[in-house]
Amino acid sequence: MYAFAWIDSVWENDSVLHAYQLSKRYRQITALDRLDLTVARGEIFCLLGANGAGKTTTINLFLGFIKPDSGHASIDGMNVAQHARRTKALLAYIPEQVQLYGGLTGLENLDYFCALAGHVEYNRGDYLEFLDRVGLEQKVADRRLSTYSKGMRQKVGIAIALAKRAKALLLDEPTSGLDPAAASEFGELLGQLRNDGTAVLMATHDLFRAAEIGTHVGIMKHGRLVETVPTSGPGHLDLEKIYLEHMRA
Amino acid sequence: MKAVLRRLHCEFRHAARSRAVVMALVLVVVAGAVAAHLGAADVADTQRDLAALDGEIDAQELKLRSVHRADADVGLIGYFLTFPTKHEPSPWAALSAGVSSAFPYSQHLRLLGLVPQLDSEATGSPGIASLGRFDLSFVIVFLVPLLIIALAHDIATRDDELGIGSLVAAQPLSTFQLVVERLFAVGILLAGVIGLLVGLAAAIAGVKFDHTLATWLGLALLYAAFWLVAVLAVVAGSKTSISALLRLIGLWITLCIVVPAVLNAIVLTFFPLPGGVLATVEQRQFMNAGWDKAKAATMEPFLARRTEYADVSIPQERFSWPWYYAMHEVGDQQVAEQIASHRAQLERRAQTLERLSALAPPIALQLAFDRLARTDMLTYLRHGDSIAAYHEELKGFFYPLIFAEAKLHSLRFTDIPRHHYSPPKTGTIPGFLALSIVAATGILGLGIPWFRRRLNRSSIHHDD
Ligand SMILES: Nc1ncnc2c1ncn2[C@@H]1O[C@H](COP(=O)(O)OP(=O)(O)OP(=O)(O)O)[C@@H](O)[C@H]1O
Ligand SMILES: [Mg+2]
Repeated sequence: MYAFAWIDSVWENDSVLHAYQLSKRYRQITALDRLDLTVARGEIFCLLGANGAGKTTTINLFLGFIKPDSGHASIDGMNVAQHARRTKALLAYIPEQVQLYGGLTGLENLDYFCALAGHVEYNRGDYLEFLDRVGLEQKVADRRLSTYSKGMRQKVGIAIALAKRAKALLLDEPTSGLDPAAASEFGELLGQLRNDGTAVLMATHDLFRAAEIGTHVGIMKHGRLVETVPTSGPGHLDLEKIYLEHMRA
Repeated sequence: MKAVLRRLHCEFRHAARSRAVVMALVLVVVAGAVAAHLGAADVADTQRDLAALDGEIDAQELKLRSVHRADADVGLIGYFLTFPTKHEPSPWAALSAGVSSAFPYSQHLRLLGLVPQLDSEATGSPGIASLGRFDLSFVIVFLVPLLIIALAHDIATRDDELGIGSLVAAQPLSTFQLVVERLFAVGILLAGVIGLLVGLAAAIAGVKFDHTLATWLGLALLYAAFWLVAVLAVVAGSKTSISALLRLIGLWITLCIVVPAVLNAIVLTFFPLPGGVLATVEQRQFMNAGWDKAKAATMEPFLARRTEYADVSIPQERFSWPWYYAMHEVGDQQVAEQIASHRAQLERRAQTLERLSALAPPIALQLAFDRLARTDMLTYLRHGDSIAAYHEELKGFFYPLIFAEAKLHSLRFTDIPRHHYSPPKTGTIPGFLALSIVAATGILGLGIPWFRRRLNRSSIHHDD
């Protein structure tokens, strides 16, 4: 395993997220079956697939929340299972529902998560800047989180990723439940992060959004990555066709 | 280190935002202040009452001299006189009342037989003062753990329950470290509350800021540390906040209510008291029988002890004061052994309870506080001894006058011995009480590697 990690870091200098023959079983169910996947700096890799296809499992393996049965997931050349803490320092995570402390303001929540991540270099001005970049102005930043909409909470999630200066961003259906305008705004923020050089891995059911903001789209079925499509190729209508063909097969 | 401080700061902010937390903190401090105020008022009342006793013998002199002729027998005067006893409370008694309320701080002693007068002392049972008086020690022993439980029961589970769990678990910090830091934050809050409580109470009760206060503070902090480690043990093994809460309350009930009750029951069973009331009755019966017996039947056993009066002649056919007092004393003598073994049994009970109390930190702490305040059972047994000694002293003063058939005019009231019991100032707590709390904390602490594994494994682990 060390050998692979070493090869990864030497040969694929830009690769940040890397899965090699990654497998995970739950008793009879094969949740993930020998997944090979690479996301480089500045790439947005969108995982598509039916419910139960293994998208969340993939993300959880990168987060170190679960351990693979075989294969490995690595971040920046470090095996996640062996370096849980060091790899967590490199990544940011946005779940489907970003929940935060309702009694604290947006800014205080950002402060809290930066403290958890060991980032103590910021002051109030820095926090306001991060929040401003994701579209939360000061008035909002100083409001209690219990008054935030879902879209605003997802934005705080992105602000946390910005403040962590994460090399990799993992998102699990982050736009489900967002209105089209909010989802589009969210996509733009991801675009900014990509431009900054972040490697983004996002599970989603939103074909349209995937085609629009992703640099790659991977289609998963029964725990396998059945096809990877660069989005510079087909438009979103073609993507839908490819997707449905795989689903019917 | 900077990150830890930043996180502690965040924890305090988080706590400060919760109205319930702030209310609980304020409530405990207010409860402590009220308790201290009530205790201080009580001690002040006692001291005022005790001070008022000072002129009592003088007042009786005035009255007796006006009612009786100057040639009245001292024996007769001795019959009417009462002698106030004084048990001076330590100012700390305001903060830990112990068993003091079960015993009078003053009594009016008479020259007659002592045993019937000792009733309350003789029958008083030295229980553990559990959930008894509302004083500062109550607040620290019983309420502070509840505060710790309220503040800390959810430190390991609250994120999951708020839906923040995965976001927190994605940060480069182990659950164990996070939980310990949160516990530390609670510890700092609690140390502040305890400091405030003890300082405020000390100011209200007017005790000196000396090493006793430092000992109080040290013990209270030690006790809080015990509960913090207990919380760590329980949250490490609980999947939800509510189950942690229920377990912690169960632990509180066990240590604060069940164990004291069981220990009391054990001591009452293994150290039964053969009834002080019976000794009293027997003393009375024996004494009263003396009226119908020949005078010699009373005087012989009396003179066997007090040979100095062997030459005094006692009228055989009529009442005389020397004989009357001898009759009382012989009554006491008749049950002396019974009383002594009763007294010894009380002492054994108190000592056994003290040793057993090392088994549960709440009782150990309560007892240590009582010791410091000199309101513990052993102090009261010594108080009983001092009353017996005073009775003896009074007899030493009056018998020579009575046996010499002295008259009122020759009685110098100012020479009558006065009683004043000030519990020994040593006030040291048995080291083992403090040690037992340290030991309990240490034993729980041995589980820390296990707690650590449990906590770190529980964090977002979808594997079944
Ligand atoms: N803790 C678990 N225990 C047992 N089976 C599990 C567990 N977690 C996931 N699975 C199974 O693994 C498979 C993959 O699940 P996963 O959550 O990765 O799917 P998904 O692609 O994220 O689906 P969705 O679109 O519904 O979020 C499913 O069959 C699921 O039932
Ligand atoms: Mg999923």
